[in-house]
Amino acid sequence: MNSPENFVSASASNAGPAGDSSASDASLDSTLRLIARLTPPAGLEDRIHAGLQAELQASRFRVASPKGRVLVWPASQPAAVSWFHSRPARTAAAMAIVAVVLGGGWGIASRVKPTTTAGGPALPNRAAGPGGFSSAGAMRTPQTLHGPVVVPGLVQSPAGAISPVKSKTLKKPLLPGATDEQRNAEAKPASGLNK
Amino acid sequence: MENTNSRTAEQARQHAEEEALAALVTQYAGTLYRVAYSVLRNAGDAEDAVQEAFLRVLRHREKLGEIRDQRVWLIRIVWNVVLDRKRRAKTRPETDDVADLARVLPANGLSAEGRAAAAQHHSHVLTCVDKLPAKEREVLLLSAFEELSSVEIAAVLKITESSVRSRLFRARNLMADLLNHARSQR
Repeated sequence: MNSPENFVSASASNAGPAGDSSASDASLDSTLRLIARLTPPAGLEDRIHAGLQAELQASRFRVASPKGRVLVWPASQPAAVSWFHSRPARTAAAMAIVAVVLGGGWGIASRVKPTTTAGGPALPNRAAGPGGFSSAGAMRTPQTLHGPVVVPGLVQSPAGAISPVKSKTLKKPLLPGATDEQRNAEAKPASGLNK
Repeated sequence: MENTNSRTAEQARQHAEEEALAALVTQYAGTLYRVAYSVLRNAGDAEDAVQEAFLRVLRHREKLGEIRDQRVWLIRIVWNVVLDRKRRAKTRPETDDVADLARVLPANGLSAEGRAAAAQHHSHVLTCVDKLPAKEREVLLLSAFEELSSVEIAAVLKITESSVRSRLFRARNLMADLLNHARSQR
């Protein structure tokens, strides 16, 4: 009967292949048993012992030696320079650095005068260097043009020109929606001319 | 004076631990080697795995006194080492298995040809074992060891005993199918 219990009991006790096991079971069991009963290589225990001894020696060396540090400064410095690490010395050094920085800044600020005025942009002053060309005091005067001269009495109006007075009599054309009275008023001047 | 006494006691304790470890090596090195070989199928790799397992024990040797079943504990350590190594070494040519098996096979009056044929057969069976799902394969491999009962296999794999039984049942059925299928194809 193929049940888990049978398989376990057969394999755990290793009593050999079960009576009803097939050929595949037998070959499987023989292979597994071959590996399970393998003889370890000669000298295995000695090599393991040697490896453990080497590891023990290494671990003892690690314990005996101080903690490894990449940089041991300043612990390894001699006592003669240890004053440098005292609190007053550090404070004094920090104050000196601050004084140097502030003094330098104040010196620069006091020497540099502002060249800009509030009125407009600052222009660079042209330095009169030695040699070169100069304007010799000449001033530039702009050229002026002579305009047209109007002579009274010589003015003639061109033929066909409409005077401003006549233009006032011009009437607007009637719109399509004009009333009959408007049309009659428009027609009257024309009839008067015919008489 | 007190310092000297404590140093002496410490040295004595260390010496006792080392002695206990040496005894473990003498007693279980062979068993651990076989367990490692069943998975790795290579003599050199198996030996390295055993060495690494004992190095792990050395690093935690202060716990040796607390371990109830040292054999199962050691097998579990080497089992973890072996699985780690197996995971790291993705693939290995099958010819290595055959050559290594031929080397480790007992020479029971077999000729060279007979040994080669036997190695080929065992390699074929182990190839089928490798095709099993991991859970079933692990139980099947451990079940072959005389030293391990189903309870101890459960302790090594951290599963219940009933799981061991059911997995072994499935593994054997799957193996029968695989081997019959391979036989019918020949």
